[in-house]
Amino acid sequence: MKPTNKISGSQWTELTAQQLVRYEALFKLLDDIQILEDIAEISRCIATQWKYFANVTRWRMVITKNKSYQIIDGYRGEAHLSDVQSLSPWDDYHWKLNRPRLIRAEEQREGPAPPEHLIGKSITEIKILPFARLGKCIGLLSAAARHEPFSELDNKFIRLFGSHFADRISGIILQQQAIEALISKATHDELTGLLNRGTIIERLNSQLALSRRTGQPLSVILADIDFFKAINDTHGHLAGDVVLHEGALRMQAQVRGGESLGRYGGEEFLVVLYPCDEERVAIVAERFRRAMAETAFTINEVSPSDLKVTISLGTSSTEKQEGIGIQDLLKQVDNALYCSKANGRNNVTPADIPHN
Amino acid sequence: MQRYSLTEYDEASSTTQAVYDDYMRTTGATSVPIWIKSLGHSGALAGAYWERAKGTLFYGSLPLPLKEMIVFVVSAKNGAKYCSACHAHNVLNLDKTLSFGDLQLFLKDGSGFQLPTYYKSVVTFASKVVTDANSLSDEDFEELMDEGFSKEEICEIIAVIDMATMFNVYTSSLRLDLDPEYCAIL
Repeated sequence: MKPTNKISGSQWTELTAQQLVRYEALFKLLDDIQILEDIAEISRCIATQWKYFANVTRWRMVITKNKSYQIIDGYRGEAHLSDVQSLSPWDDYHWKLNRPRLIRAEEQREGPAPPEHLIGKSITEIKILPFARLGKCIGLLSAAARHEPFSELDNKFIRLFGSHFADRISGIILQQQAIEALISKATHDELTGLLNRGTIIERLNSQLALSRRTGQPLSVILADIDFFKAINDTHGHLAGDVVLHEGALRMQAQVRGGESLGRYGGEEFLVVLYPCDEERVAIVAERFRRAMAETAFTINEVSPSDLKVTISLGTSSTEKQEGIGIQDLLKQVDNALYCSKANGRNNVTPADIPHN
Repeated sequence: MQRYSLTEYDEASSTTQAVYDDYMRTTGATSVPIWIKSLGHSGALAGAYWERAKGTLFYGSLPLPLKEMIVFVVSAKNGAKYCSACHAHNVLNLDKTLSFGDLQLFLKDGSGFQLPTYYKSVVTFASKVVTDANSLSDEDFEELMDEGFSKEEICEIIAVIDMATMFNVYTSSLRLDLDPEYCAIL
């Protein structure tokens, strides 16, 4: 707001109520965005409150998000969020330019067109501000002025708040990524990338409970790589790791909705299938067996050599065994796997379910 | 004829005193205005009117000066002398650079002093509601949304207009006398 010429005294005393409204709105919003954790909620707050401390009702904030971008568009008092893999020509141009720009309405014909909500007859200019941390751009703000160009105070508030806004959203994204990485580390096997033993057992437990509640059967497959010790002894432990990794990838590629695959032990893999009956689990197990046996493994990238790898599998199901516990189910499937091994390996054996 | 009687703090029931206390705590004033005193004979009525004013003016997301301006504009349009004086006083108190002449000019054609651009749209909207709420069109809402107001904020604007109208009816019907400090500006 422009100061009026009616008052005298130092600048300090020239604060009018409208300026105080600006400060109050800014401080409150800074507070709110620190307290809130959800990006959508923060964006909604900003979409309504920004106009109270600067002439900003239409804006776009772009924040880096791992290999993609978080786009937040604000207009008509609402915020609209989207994730994009690549930037629009406008965002891409200014992101690469990486310096503040002010584009007046009459200049907008040059260069890439602004986002649709930043175009209109009331828009007088667009302020573009990149926010860099450690020399790297983390966010890009495009804020449109309506009716009148941005005042000096508007520009100061936009820069000040925009920087906090970019930091907060970027911080939340980084925090989410760190939490996801920690959870992934705690629940996944490092070598194969599959669920680890604890997690697949936990999955089995929860699915078993669900199966009891719904009455729909659950099935399990236990797979073990044949002659894995010989692979390690003959080709070395690195080759063993390649077989485990490649084998896991092949099995993971066979996993469909409602199926979970985890590394159960050294070279053992457990698949939990829900809902799934005896008939279907046999078909799925056969699918896994073929995925391993049909194509040889390449175990040395320098001087590639083909290695035929097979797995033996056992299956079991809760069908016709309502109320069976997790330990009994695992014991049954382990026995079935043992039978596959005893019967020459590279085959599927269903559990011998006791009949009442 | 004076159409109302005032209940002073010392004569008031404990319920009314609690309302007076809450008014003073919330606004920072050291006495209560005539409109509350005129309701002081009933703790329930005084409480109901005060809660309506407090909930609408002191909570929500609209800035207080904007709400004061809405109440002033609505009261002036409704010809409510007491409310327009009271809220003109509040608006002027909030901004020492404003004169009553500025407010009158602003009321006339939305000009006269520098305010954020959204004020004019809100005042136009409020004037239309006061004239005939049924005449509001989607375009009127669209205009406020284009100024950056969410649907929830527009509801809040309407609630402030509605509250002002309620007080206008009450104060005008009783022809409430102005509080001494408001007389000077009219």
